[in-house]
Amino acid sequence: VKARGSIFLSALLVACADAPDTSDATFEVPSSRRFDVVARTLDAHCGTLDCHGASSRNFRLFGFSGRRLDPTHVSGVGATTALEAGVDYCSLTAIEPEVLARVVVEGGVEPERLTFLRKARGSEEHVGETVFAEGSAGDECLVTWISGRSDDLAAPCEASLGDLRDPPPPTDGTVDLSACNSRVERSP
Amino acid sequence: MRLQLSRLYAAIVSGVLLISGSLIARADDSTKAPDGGGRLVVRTAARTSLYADTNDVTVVTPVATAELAKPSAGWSVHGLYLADIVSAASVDIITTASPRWTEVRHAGTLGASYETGSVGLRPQVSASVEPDYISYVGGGVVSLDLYSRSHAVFLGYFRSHDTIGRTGTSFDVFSRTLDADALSAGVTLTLNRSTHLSLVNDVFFERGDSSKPYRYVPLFSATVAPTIEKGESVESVNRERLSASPLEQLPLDRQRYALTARFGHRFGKSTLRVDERFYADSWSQQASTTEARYFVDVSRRLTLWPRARVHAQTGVSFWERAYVGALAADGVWRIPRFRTGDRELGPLATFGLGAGASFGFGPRGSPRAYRVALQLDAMHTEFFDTLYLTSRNATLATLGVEADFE
Repeated sequence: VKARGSIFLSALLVACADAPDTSDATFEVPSSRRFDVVARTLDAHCGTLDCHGASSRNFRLFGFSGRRLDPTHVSGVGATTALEAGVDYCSLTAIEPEVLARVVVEGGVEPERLTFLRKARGSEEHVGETVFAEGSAGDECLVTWISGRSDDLAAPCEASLGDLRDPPPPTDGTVDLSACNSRVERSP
Repeated sequence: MRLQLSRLYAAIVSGVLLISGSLIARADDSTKAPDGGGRLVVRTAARTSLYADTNDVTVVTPVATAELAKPSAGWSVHGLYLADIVSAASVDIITTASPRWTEVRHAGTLGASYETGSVGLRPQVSASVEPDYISYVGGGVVSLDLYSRSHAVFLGYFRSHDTIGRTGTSFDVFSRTLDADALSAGVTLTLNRSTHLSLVNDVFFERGDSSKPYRYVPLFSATVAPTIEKGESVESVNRERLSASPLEQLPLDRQRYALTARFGHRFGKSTLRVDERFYADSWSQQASTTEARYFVDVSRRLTLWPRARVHAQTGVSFWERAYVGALAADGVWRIPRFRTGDRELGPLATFGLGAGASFGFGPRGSPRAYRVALQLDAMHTEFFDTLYLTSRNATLATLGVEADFE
């Protein structure tokens, strides 16, 4: 009787438990407007082939300093294209959409909740160590974008380039998101 | 990070099975340690396990235990220390573009047992520390012997508090908590002089984000996802996926239920033990685990046993081999609310075979006062719906020495 009761109790508890909602969720992320200048900063500091320019990276970048989307383009020649900036945008905004959406909804406060910002600041272990110290121009570039102030991006993002090999400025200031929903790697 | 459920489950099992195990041992004098009369008894054991699998994971686990007991007074205290030394370059590491890593987990347990009349109390606390995971568990089991100790009922409660972090990062910078309560209730029945049966019902309530902070889940377009095959290679996944690859996200609570039956029968010079565990949880995962051991007393000093184990489970309700995501025209992401790459949450089956031997080298009057034991196991796991891997072979070897002193 006790055994039956135990089985019944387990079955009852399983039946009463709410199954997880398996539907898709939607996440509001920072605007792509003027992300081209953010992409230029990220590409210059993080996008080389031995870093986030590698296809094996979960956060992967395309652009002037690393891999190119267009097979006729080569690394180190020609500005990061609008399509490459769009792919970079999609890669960055999808890393932890729950946290990013929360930060956006709350007006960009406590952006250090975001893994990519902590890694860039070096407060979290990062193979590339500290890329943008807190308060630096690069850090301000990212924080300004996260907080939705697209019109204020140009100055800090430009200043973040410093002494780096000068990446050409974006071609036309646009961000093309048309490649976000398709594979972007080329077959070997 | 790897074993968060099993820590709490192990705490319950060690508490509860002490009870069912002690009843079975009562009918099996050959496995019973000396009761020491009115004297203090010290029991010590040391063992080391070596695990290796074809996913390039090795784990070395040295364990030391000690127990001080005064059987005539009904009390004992015990302690355990273990270290898991893990070295891995598995496909899970490769997919995060990381090199091989080695990590050490330290764990300790302190417990006590006190029996007064027909009532037994077994409180226990344990802690586990590794660079990115800290876990504390505390609780105990109360038992009541019935019908001249031939039957027993017991009730256990354990609570765990885990802190999940990232290696190399302060817990102040990044951490999550995972809390769990576990209730265990059961009965151990003496069916006849040599046959025992125990039934245990475990219920776990977990609250918190147990998502692995290193695990990213590749997203695919709706047209590509159906073409992704079981065991698709890392290179192929990297080529076919979208540029988006979010971190794993699991539901923030989980209720787990398990019903375990343990049957033991003592033959003339052998003992058969069969365990069956049914499991279900609120993530719609169901599992069955069957294990059988047959202990043969070859002599007063030597015991041999074969062992077989079969485990099969379904995947969780949100399991997908290839998840679909898309950036909508209005600039918002549509991404599966829950997503995982943890193969242990997918459908799989494991088959295991093993054998063990225990040799007593104590004095003639108490040949099992000192024992050396060796256990060898081989396991094959089939993953029915996963990326990167379709199967895994593993071996586990354990060598231990035990000694009882009065």
